[in-house]
Amino acid sequence: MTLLEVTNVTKKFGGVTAIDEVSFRAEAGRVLALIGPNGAGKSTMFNVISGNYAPTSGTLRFDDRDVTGANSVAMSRLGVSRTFQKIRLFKALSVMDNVVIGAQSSAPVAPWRFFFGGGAVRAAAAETRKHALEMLDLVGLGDVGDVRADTLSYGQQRMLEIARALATKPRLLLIDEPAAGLNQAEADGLVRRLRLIRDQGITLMLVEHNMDLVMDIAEDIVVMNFGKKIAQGAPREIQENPDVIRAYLGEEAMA
Amino acid sequence: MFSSLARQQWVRSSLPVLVAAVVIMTAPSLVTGSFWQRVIILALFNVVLAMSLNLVIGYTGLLALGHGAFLGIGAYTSAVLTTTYEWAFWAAFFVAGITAAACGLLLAVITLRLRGHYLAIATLGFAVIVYQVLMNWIDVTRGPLGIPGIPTPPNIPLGNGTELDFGLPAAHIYLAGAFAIVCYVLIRRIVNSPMGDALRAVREDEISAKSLGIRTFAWKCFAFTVAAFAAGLTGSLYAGYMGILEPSAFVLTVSFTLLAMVIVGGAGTLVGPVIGALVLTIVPEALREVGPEYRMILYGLALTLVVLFFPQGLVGIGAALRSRFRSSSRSKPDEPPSDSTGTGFAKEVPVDAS
Amino acid sequence: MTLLQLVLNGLVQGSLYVIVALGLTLIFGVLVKINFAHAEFLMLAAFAGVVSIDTFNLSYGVSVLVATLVGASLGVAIEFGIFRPLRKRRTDELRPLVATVGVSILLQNLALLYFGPNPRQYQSPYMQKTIELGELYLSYQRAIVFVVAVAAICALFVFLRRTAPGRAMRAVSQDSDAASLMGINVSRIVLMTFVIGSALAGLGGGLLGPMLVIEPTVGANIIVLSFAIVVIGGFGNVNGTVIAGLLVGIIESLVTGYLEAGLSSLAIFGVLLLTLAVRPTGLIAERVEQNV
Repeated sequence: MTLLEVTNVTKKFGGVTAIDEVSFRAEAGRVLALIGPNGAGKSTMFNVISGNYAPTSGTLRFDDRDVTGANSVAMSRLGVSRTFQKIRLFKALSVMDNVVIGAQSSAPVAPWRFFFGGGAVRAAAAETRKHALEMLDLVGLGDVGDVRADTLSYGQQRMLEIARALATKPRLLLIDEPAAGLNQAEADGLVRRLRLIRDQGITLMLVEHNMDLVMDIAEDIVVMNFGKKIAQGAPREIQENPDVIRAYLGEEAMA
Repeated sequence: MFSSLARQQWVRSSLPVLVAAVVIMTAPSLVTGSFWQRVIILALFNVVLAMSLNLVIGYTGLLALGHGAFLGIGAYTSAVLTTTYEWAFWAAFFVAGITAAACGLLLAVITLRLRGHYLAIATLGFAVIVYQVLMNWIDVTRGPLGIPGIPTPPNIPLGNGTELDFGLPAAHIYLAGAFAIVCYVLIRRIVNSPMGDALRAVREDEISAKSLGIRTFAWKCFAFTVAAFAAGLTGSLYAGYMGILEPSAFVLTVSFTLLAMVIVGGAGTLVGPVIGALVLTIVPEALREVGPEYRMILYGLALTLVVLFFPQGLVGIGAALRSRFRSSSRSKPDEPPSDSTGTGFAKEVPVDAS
Repeated sequence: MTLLQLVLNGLVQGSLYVIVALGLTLIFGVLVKINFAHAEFLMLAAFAGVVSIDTFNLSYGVSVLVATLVGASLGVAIEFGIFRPLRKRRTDELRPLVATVGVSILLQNLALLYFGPNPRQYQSPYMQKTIELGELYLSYQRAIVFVVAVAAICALFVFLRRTAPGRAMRAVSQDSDAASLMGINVSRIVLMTFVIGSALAGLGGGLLGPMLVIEPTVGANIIVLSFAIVVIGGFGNVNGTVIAGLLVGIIESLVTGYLEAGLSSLAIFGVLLLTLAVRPTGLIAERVEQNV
């Protein structure tokens, strides 16, 4: 089943075209990686899917609904959650609070009802905390819930962002460069945890530069360069695709 | 029935309220001079104003510089209704709160798409406009002449034949005290619930908050409206206590002193603004003998020094002292600050020993 | 008074506002910070001018120079005392604004303590003489104010466009990281901005002084107007500030002349809120998009 369908999406900033007529589909329950050299438009694509940017043209369908132009609040409520390339945690809050805030948005009890208290509300609060703790355990941060988020190591902060996004109970999780700044051991742990997340039935989309990791975990790959989609396929096909090789070699030659 | 944890929580949440209630009940008999009774009443009003401003500045991270304007709107609404239109005090009280809240919501809708400095200046501009309206809408406000003869709240029968007589300052202490306690409890309900979490999320990172499905614009409007409502109600009590209103009571300086109370006490904490309001109302009055100018000098100095050297305010200083005492007596490593919710728009890591 | 006379008065007053607001806008352009104590610099500079005439018998011209220097020194002081320490600690963007609200209260009341609440007259020999241009009247003082203010604004424009430090300042205001990578000493540029911006406030104090009475609260009245100008003109936008300053001067003059003095700030802040509600949203929304 197709969960997300991106059709002919273009995003322009002033005169610059960051994404140019890109189309692809993300199948439910699978891991899709979006790769390409720097400046290819991958993060912009994430921002379009998550509702942070409105596409200049083209359409987005999520779960068989037209969601073109829906903002990030609406996308989150529809079940699309994300992490950020440049980590954006609630720094001064505790690790637990970061995740609880995420979990609250998927809780059945609206925040204002807490003003009046009552049994249902207390039960919901307990449920929210339990869910948040599960998410923290899932990313391996279960025992540091009480510390301030900005005291975590860089790798832990990335995992916390994932836990926070997961707490919203998304159906599609967009993860932007999860392995950036991680050491090998942390990257291995990341792969294991991403698999656990996928096994819960959550569709994953990631932007990632670490090719070992991508080839290890991705089931479908979309390759972008200069805002255009240049290839799509299974990891093995992508590795042998001459356009992809040229795009990457070109980048290395320039660097 | 109750677990020990639940009992502990109950004690922690009820104890400060009980202590405050006892202090307020006994204050009129302990402090008999009319000068100091007046200071106590004004301090209690300031407590509510600072707590409500803290909801905007400390919890939601929006630097609003015109909170005094809502006090003025509430006070004048109440005064005009009770004098010109001869409304009952308590009806005017609620309408004053609602009028201020409506103005707060209006200002929020106009300005809350702005960020940081723009919002600060927009709220400043709003305060100037309100002041000028009070000065110039002479048909209603009598302009610089002010409104005299504002009635006090009606006496409240106490059951045993006596009454709470608002001709006496003691009754105003009880009323202002009860009002402050109710506001404290309600604001605590907000900030210690998912509502408070949503506000903090807006303060910490709006883009993240939105991506978690939090309607940040609505929450900012909420904080503004609630704060304006509380300030408007306070204005009504203020009018009822003072008996006369002049626009000069609502100049920009009032807003700045409220800002100082929040920041000096500790923005983004529950007790910070309470402490800030009490300290910055009572201490300057104690210095009045030395010279009235020193009052505002103290405000200026306290605000500047706290921002420069104690970003978490008096509450932060207290916490630092406590943890130092604890670690030296038990030689335990420093614990993270007990208030893990951070401190207002201070997005700094607390100063620690390392 | 005729319409033309009112417009002329407004232009003179507006040129003064421009000087004061330009200081604010320069600092905002370079640092993205507001110095709330900016107008207190004007007030203290004006007092310095009064003192240099009354106590030291200096001429009006020299007193304006003294006022300008006092403004510049206060700029240095606030950069070293407030802005630089807070910058080093990487606090959030609004903290310096709060700190300078404190400084503003402090300076205003220290002045109250030292000079007393009674207004002082800033003596200028040019107040009494008037120039007549047909139907129009203009005191020498106002003429001088206008000429000096326009000269200062032109000098600033030349400085920003034609000199190396001025261009460096503009570079920092566009992108301070990039400027720093290009070898520009950002912290020296910031200091220079404070000196120039605050000197303009001081100059404003020296020029404005004789046209009104000097009291410790004079800055408070001007700061809110300056903010209105800076916002209407677009924060950090030098050209916009000039236009907005003149506009505010003229609005004030017309409203005061035809309606009532108190309504002028209502009109100006109405324009301010309108500007804020309509214009900067687009500008700011775009910036947010690129931050993600």
